[in-house]
Parts: sequence; C-alpha cells; structure tokens
Amino acid sequence: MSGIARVLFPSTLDEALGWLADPALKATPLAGGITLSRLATVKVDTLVDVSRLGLDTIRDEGDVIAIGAGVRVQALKESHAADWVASGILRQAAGRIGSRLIRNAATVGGGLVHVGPWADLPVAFLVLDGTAVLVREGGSREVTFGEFLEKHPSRFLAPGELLTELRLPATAPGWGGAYYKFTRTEVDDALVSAAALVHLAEDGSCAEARIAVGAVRPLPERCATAEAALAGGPASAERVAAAAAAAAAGIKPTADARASREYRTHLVEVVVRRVLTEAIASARAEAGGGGKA
Amino acid sequence: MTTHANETAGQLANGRKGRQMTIDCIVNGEPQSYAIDADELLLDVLRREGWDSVKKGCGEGTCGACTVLLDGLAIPSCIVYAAQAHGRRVATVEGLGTPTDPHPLQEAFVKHGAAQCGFCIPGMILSAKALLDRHPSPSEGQVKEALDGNLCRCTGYVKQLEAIFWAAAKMRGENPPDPNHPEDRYQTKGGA
Amino acid sequence: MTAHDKTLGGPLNVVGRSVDKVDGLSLVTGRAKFVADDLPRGTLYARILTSPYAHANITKIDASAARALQGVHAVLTWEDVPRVAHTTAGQGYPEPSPYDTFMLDKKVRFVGDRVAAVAAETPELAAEALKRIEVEYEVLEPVLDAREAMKEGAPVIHDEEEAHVIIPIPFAPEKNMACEAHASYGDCDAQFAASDAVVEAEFETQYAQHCPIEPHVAMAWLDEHDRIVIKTSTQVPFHARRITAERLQVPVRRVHVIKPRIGGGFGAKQEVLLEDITAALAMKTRRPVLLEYTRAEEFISSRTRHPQIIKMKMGATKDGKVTAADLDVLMNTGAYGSHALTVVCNSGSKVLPLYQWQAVKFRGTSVYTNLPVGGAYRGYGVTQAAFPNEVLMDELAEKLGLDPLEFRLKNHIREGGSSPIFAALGEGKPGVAQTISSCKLEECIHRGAKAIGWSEKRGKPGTGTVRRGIGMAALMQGSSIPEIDMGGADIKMNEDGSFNLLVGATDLGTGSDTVLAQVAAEVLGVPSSWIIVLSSDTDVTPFDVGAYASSTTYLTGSAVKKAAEKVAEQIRTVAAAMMGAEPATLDLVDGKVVAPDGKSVTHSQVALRALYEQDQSQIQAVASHITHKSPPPFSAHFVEVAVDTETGFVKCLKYVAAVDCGRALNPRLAEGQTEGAVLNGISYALTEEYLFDPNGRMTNPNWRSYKIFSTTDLPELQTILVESEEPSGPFGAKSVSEIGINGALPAISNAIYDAVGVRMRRGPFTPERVLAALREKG
Repeated sequence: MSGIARVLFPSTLDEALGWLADPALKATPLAGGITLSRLATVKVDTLVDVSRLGLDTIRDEGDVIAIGAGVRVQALKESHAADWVASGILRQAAGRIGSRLIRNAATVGGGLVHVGPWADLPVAFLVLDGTAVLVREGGSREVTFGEFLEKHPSRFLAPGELLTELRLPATAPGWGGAYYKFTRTEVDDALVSAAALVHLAEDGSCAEARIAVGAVRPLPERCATAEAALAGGPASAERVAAAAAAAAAGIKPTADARASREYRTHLVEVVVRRVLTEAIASARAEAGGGGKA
Repeated sequence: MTTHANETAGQLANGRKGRQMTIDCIVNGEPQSYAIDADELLLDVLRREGWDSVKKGCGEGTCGACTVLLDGLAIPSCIVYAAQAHGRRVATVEGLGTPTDPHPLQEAFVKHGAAQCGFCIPGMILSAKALLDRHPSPSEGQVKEALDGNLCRCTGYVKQLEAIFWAAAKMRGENPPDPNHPEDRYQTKGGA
Repeated sequence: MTAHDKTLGGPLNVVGRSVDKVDGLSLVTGRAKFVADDLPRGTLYARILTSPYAHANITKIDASAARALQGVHAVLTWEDVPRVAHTTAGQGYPEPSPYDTFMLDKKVRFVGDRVAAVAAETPELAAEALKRIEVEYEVLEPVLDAREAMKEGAPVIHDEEEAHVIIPIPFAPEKNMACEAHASYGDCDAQFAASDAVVEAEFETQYAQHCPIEPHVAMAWLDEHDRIVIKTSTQVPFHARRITAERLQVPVRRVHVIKPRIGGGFGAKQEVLLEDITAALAMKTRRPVLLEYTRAEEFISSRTRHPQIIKMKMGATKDGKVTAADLDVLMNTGAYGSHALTVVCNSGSKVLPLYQWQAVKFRGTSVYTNLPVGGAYRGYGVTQAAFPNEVLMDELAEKLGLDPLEFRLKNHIREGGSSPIFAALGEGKPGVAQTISSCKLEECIHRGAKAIGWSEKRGKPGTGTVRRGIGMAALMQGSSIPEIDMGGADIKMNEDGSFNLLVGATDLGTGSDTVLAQVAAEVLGVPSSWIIVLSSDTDVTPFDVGAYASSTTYLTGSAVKKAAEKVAEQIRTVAAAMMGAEPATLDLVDGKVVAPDGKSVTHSQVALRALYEQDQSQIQAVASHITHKSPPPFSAHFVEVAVDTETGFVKCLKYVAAVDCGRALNPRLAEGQTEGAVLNGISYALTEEYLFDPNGRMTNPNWRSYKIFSTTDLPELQTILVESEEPSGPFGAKSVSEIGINGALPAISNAIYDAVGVRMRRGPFTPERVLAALREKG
C-alpha cells in the first residue's frame, strides 16, 4: 500500500513549485503516472499533477528546439520539429519505447527522471548537446544531459526541483545522429541499444563521434574509447568496425535473465557498428542538404 | 510510511467508506463525480463504478485490456491514477454503441469475426477509435502501431486489421462490401 | 430431399457460411459479462499465499495475526480443509491423471504452490493478511531437472501415502515417475538395419504458458438453499462440479457451476484450479468470494505447457519410403501429474500415425520435478513431438537427396489408411482402431507450397548479413476422444419459432456457440439468429465433457444435430396434423414447415398450437453423442524467415497454414481458430519460455519479460481451408482448434536450416541460441 494521501492540481507552475518545496506535504510531481503507479511503495504523501501547466509543447525557437518535459512520448515520435535534432534521433528513440499505450501515457520528462537500465530516450540524450531546465521555487538552472544523467537523476535533482524542459540545438550541417535498439519482439525492452552522433568534416572524415549504449549497465553510458577510435580519421567501414569493437571491449555488461553477458557484449559491437553506420549516412545527407542553421 | 500496523489495517478495512478525494470527469459524455482514494488506479475506479468493459488482464500496463481513452488518447488505465482523470474526458466502449446500435468499429469487428473470447476487444476497439479519429485513412503500419499494446491471444490479429479498415471506410462514408457471404439470405431477413 | 435428410452434399442454408458470432455484439459493446463483472453486494476478495521454496515441509503455520485483522473474514490452511487427493485435470471420470494434489497441504512442491488462502473486505487487505501468516518451512532438496528426477537417490516429491492412480496405469511416485506409456509394432531394429539412411537426434521443448488475457478467476457463494454456486472461467463446467464436490466432500447436488463468458482458455481452464478454494472460503464466510489470479500467479501457479526432452530416430530407404521410427519422450510434469499421461501419449498417438512406418517404438515417461505444473494446452503432446518428427523428416529427405515435400507426399497416411498406433495408444487404456475416412493432406501440401513460393524460394538464402529460408511441416491431430467423451444438447421451441439450445459445451472464445447454433438452425430450417444458445450451467444444460481435445464441433455438434432432428420430427408431427399431410414429406425451411404441394405453416404457428391449442406439449428434445473414432484434421504449414547472421535474430516473414478440418461449418471462425493457433505457435517457437533462477523460481512471470507477439510482430498470415467431408462428423466436420499451434516449431526450425544451415533442436529459437548455433557451425 502506498502512503499517498492526496493529489493536488496546481493552476500555475509557481503554485506547483511551492507545493513541491513544502516539506510538510512530502510531495512529488505526477506527470504520466505510469512509473509511480507501478512502484510497490511510494514514499511520498502528495502527488502534484504537473500535466496541466503547459509543459507539453514542442517549440521551434529557430536554433533551439525546446521540448516540454510533459510532452507525451508519442507526440515526440510524431513531432516534425524534433526532426531538426540530430537527424530525428529523439523521434527514433521515442518510437521504440514500449507500446502505443505506454507512449501515449509516458512523458519525455518522466522517461528521463525515471531512467532505468532499459531506458531509450536517455541513451539518445547522452550524445546530444543541449540542456535540461530544472526549476524550483525561487530559481532555476540548466544542466547538460551528461551532468543530468551521470548519476540517477532522482539523486541529482534537488528537493522541490522540477524538470520542465529539454533545450536542444538544431543540427548543424555535417552532423548526423541515429538510435538503434535490439529487441526480441517489436514491443520489448532493449537487449542492447545505442545512440550515435557524428560530425563529418568537409573532407568526409570524422571530426567528432559520440556514442552511448543502453541496457548493458544500470544506467546508459558513453563509450569514450569507441569515440576516440573513430574521431580524427576517415569515417570508413573499417574504422567504424574498430570503434564498435572498442565499445564492446570497453564495457562489461550486466547479465540478466534475457541475455548472457557474452551475448550482450557481442550485441554491443553489432549495435554500435550499425548505429554509427546510420549516423554517418545521416551526417552525409545533412552535409548534402545542409542542417537547419 | 511509518504508520502503525493496526492503523494500516483499519484504513484498509475502512477502505470502502471514507474516500480521500473526489474527482469530476466526463465519462462517456456524462459528467460524473467519483469518490476515490488518492492512490487508486483508474481501472479499479472505473470497474467499481460499473464500467465493466474495462478489463484487467495484467495490472502492469502490458496487455491493453484496460485501455480507455483519456481526452481522446488510448492509455492503460491499470497504471494511471484515477486522480489523473480529474477534469478530463474518459471514454470506455460502453459509450461507443449498443448491441442494437453498434458503432461502425463494433459492427466491423462482429462481421469480420474479430472477437473470439472478446476479453481484449473493448480495449482494442478503443485504440482503433483513437486512431481513426485522427487518421481516417490509416496505413497498415499505422493500424498495427496503434494496436501494438493490445494483446490478443485468441486471434492472429488478422481479422481485427481487416475490421478496422472496413470500419474506416464506413466512417469515411464509403460503402465497403459486406464481408459475409452475400448469398446468406438470413442476414437480412430478420425475425419472425 | 427433406430437411431431416440433409447430409453430405445436400443443400445447406446455414452450415458452411460465415454467419456472425451469436455473442459478437455483446462482446464488442462490452456488455458480455465475465466472472469478475457485476460483482454481488458484499463480495469478499480472496488471495492465496504461495510457497517461496521449490520443495519444503511446512513445520508450523500460524495465521492468528492474519485472522485478527479487521476486515479479514477467513484464513484457510491445510489444517482447515478436507485432505482429499485429487487431480486438477478436468478430465472425464475416472481420470487418467494421478491423484496427487490437495486443496492445501503441509508440504509444498514448487515455488508458487498453495500454502494458505484468505478472504477479506478488499484486495489490499487480503494482500496484507497474507503477509501476516507466519510459516516455518523445513526446506528440502529440490528436483529441478527432469533428467535427474528418476536417478537413484533423487529427493522424492510425492512421499505422501495418499497419492494414487484410480485406473491401472504405471505410477511410481517413489521414483518420481508420474506415469509411463509404451507402444510398438514391427521390428524397428530390422527396419533400421535395412534402411539406406537413418537420422537420430535429441530435441527439447520449453515451458510456456497459455496466456489467456483473462487470468483464472472464480466466484463462489451460497444460494438461498445453501447450495454452493460457483461462477467460474472454466472449459469444463461439469468436470468442475464433480471434482469440486469431491474435494469439498459434499454431494454433487449441492454444487451449481455457471460458466459465463470466458476470456480465453487454450487448455489452461481445463484445469479445475480455483473453484475448490473459492467455494471453501464462501462456505466459511457465507459471503460471496472472488478469487482472481494476478498475471504473475497465472504464470507461476496455474498450468503450463509440459516441457519434453525427446529422442527420436527414423529411417528410410533410398526409394524414399520410411521404414521405422523410434520415439522416446521424457516429459517434465512439474510438481503434479495433471495430464501427465495423456500429454505424453498424444506425443505418440497423434504424431506417429502421420507417416506409414513399417515399425514403430514409442516410450513416454512423465516425471515429477519441483517446477511449475504442466497441464492441458492446445495441441498438447503434438506441439512437442511434431518438432522432432518434422525436423527429422527434413533431415532424412536431405540425406536421401529428396525434396522434403515429395518425401512427405510419398509416406503420409491417406484416406482408407490406418496405423496400428491408433489402437495401441489411448488415454489410460488402449486406443481405438480407426481407418482414415477423410484426408486432404496432399492438397494442403500442394496449395501451401504454392502460396509460400516453395519451388522459387527454397534453397536460395541469398548473401549478406540477412539470409532467407523456407521451411514446412505436416501435421495431424484428432477430433475428440473416442469411446470416452460425451457431448449433450437440449433444444426447446418457443412461440415465435425460435429455439433455446442448451449445451454443456463451453464456448471459450472459439465460436462454438455459433457453430452449434448453425448446426441446429440448419436442421430446424431457421436462421442461426433464431437459436438462443446457453452454455453452460450445470443446473440447466445437459452434461457435456466440455471444451477440450478438439471435440466441440465434432462431438457436441453431433449431439446438437441429433437433438435438432428429434425436435424437427416433433415439429413435423404437429405441422402434419395442422395441414393434414404426411410428416415425412414435410420440409423445414425459412422458418416454415412446407408440404410438397407448397402449403405451409410457420414455425411460430406450430409452436403456438403445441403450447396452447391442441394436444399441448413442449416441443423439446435432448440428445447425447459419443464417437467411435477420432478423425484427424490434417495440415501443412509453410514459413519464410529472415535470419540476421550477426545477431541471430529470426524474423518470421510469411506463414501459410493449409488445413483440412473437414467441412468448415463457419469458414471465418475456422480461419480465426487457425490464425490464433498459428500466431501462438510462432510466438512459442521464437520467444516464449519460462526462465528460472537456481532455486526453481520463475524469473519472468510478466509480459514485459515473457514476450508474446503483438500486432507489430505479425508476419503475413495466410490460411487456406482445404475442406474435406468427414462422414462421421456433423455435416462433414472434423476439428480445427488445436492443430494450428503445432507447426511453427518444426517449420521455423526447417526454415532456419534453409537460410543458414543450422539445425535448431531446442526452443525457442532466440537470437542468442541461433547465434550460438551459427558460431558452433563456424
């Protein structure tokens, strides 16, 4: 049995932040609800419904795409504005989350704050520039996704602090991104997932590569050795393969009932190779067509 | 939570009496006011209030038998708090049609033999309705994606897909062919 | 030709047409009532405390703290209920399953076994009460591997003295042997010696669950006469009545079982699982009690597909004639022996007759383990043993350089043929000899091959990372259990010419209410919508064994036909008196009784006269039916797959099932049965399996981890109904419900071989297993 005693419906963001900051209320934000409702115990007294505060829009601000934390995952999947972010990497990741019912109920912010080993969107966010906007009564801050996801966000967030928005720069020419998820059935948690963002220089070589993998460790992780193996040289199939091998060599997956450690390690190599190949193809397309900026 | 065990038991035993809060929502077009506990799930409240078409298949958001439309979006009511329906519109399949006046989707599901045991069907029809309300002429991929959270173990989904395309045509004002054998003279003859 | 002469070849008005399901509109509008709908006032919620250990004695159980909770109305432990050894298998009496189960026991035999039951005001309170039951266990060494179960010194799972069998079948609980069956004919050794090619391999099939979207659920209360009313999601209401009465130690007359709508069963609900404890709680509390399994409980504590380890050897001569087959099945029945004998027998009796072997040897052994309990599951026994049978047929064909289709066509059983196995292997007693009276397997193979593109696509995997392959399997099943199972029907006429059709057969979503209504309507000359079907209520409907063994259309359909023919005779008699005609000349058609001269009276006029006007009597008849054979439906399955050689992922692209089910009384419903069974089979072949921790606890009891296919996994599915006319069936029908689930495991394995050259002999074909096989092959 949960200890939840009340659900409050704030009419403004300030009201919500006030309640979230009130220690007497022992409150937590309620967005899609699908994670909280499945927890065996919820150690709060109050849920503050933040789903009616206008945090559910995706705005194209020119060089920045601003995604409200309350945007439903399905809406992100269908958003054309999100196409401007790393070749639509967030749309790809959103499209692989759960089933349609889950995508309708889940929010982007909820997916980041409640990151689990199987998470999809956080893997993609890890390779992206941009910031998460955190607000609390009397102040706000913007942090990079790397900072936000380094430890579990529930430990990163200050008491009473609310994730309200993700701000992402529109893709510049020469940058390409991709998300790849390997599952047993279409609606399934990843056995291994990976996100990649690459920047191709004018000569076609890889100026920068960012790679993150999911479902292998408790939290998604960047693969520094793989990134180093690809950046600063030709974006060739051989070097992509070498980067993928480096990714597999550099990570020690946890085993679970669905896949052994050995198989997961093998999958990391395949999945990273495939996601890099897609990201490079996207970057070449972006270079040809030009980015948004 | 550090409540003393006996208090917990008392609360549990009294669970049906004093509810913690009231929500106001529109269910199948009618304003409703439901007394609920803050941590109750939408599925449990809807069933308690008599909306028995909303089925419990897993309680974990994985099967879709409990699908309802919340402000037009198909969601799994077993993992959403009832409080989240406050001020919103809820649709269940009871609001869609009756045996004598079925909705085109319901008619289509019967005509195509898409309902076998029927336990998953209310949820599936609601997912289909949410889709057709937004996409009157969906692709096969869109239909499959719209239904990918509604598990059915009796059928191979084939008949449901056929039914949804048939209903979509009918809802667009077209006159799709009767899937039943046209020579079946008993189909149109009626009663004694 | 008059209506009562309608037989094969006669003009049919209702049968053979895809009429709407009689319960369709109530289901799609959400009005149909399932067990947990419309709960009575004052309903209590029950929960069951289950064992955390695979094997343990309960040394102490103290429920006082749970009983003291306000709002908890009853707690039952083994000390509070009758100790009656029984089987949960919902089979006819005397059941061929060992009596080795107790409502509650002082020993637990698998993780998920019952320890205690509570009934409380709310589900939350019931859950809280479970936590307050203090149990002390003496943990025993478990048996977690079927291969270890019968080894010397293995822990004995059923050491209680009450475990016994009620018919003479081999049963040795002291060796963890739940049962054993043998059958043979011919000289296998000589045949193998004379063969030009022999293949032999071991196969393994996995635990799986039926996954009805509605879990097991039962509701019980005491009526105004203190009779026990049980509304339950069951396939076997009459067996449930008999078995529950026995377990509660009350006479059958005190138990009233009602089957409302059922949210899928697939055999899981052929098990009498919840009725006893729900009724015991209702008797104790004198309140209505609802017991509903959670999804996790449905996986862990209900019933499963029995896993099998199968060794098979088969041979053939170079002219393509099969010689001998040796089939050895080791079946894990889990902690209890529900269907332990019949499943293992089916592995032989519904697999081995498919090909015309000169010699056959069959051994089946079911062993106890401290793992989840096997039970009836659509296709049982055949789902498992068709796997080696059809993979080895491919291997044998390859060794002989023959096309797998030609090889099968050369050897499969045909109309007029038989197999000694039919007589040798029955259900706890010898089987029933039969000659095949309808078989269109050859046409199934030809049409299926064409639909999949066999000759164009097979043996062309392509190059690159993803390879394609084509595979097939041939199948047979049965239709009801001959000389054992009985179906019944009761038909009575109403004033408007409509009829009540009362059947004990249970529509669990299969559409049998509709098909049975069609049979009655055909004979009575009315549309199927004039037939009001009630299934099932043990106080109202005649006895029927229930829905299992592919029997309802074939068996109960014949009972309905007989009852309808009797009613038609009564109608003719009344109409003849009204018209001054000879009864035998009258035809029932379009809701009228028509004389040869064209004069007619309506059914309604006949009914009004019979009920109110002259020589008043209720036009009504009851009939029952047993069968003397079990005519097999036949099927050929074809599949195209794509195999990702880097990940091992197998994608099913297209699946064709061509099926000879006799006459399809309702083609659309027959297609639906096939599509559902096929998709379940594919999902089983590719993803479904129970995973266990080292202590025998299932680690994936949910649909997030145990994956079943959804719309986005659906391959292109094609069903081809290749209709035959079975002389012994109602209007030529055989059966269709089970056979479709048995093809995917072998057909997909064969397709994987065609694509990448590895033989998958253990299900499911997960990416990890396929990749391992690819690496082993190098």
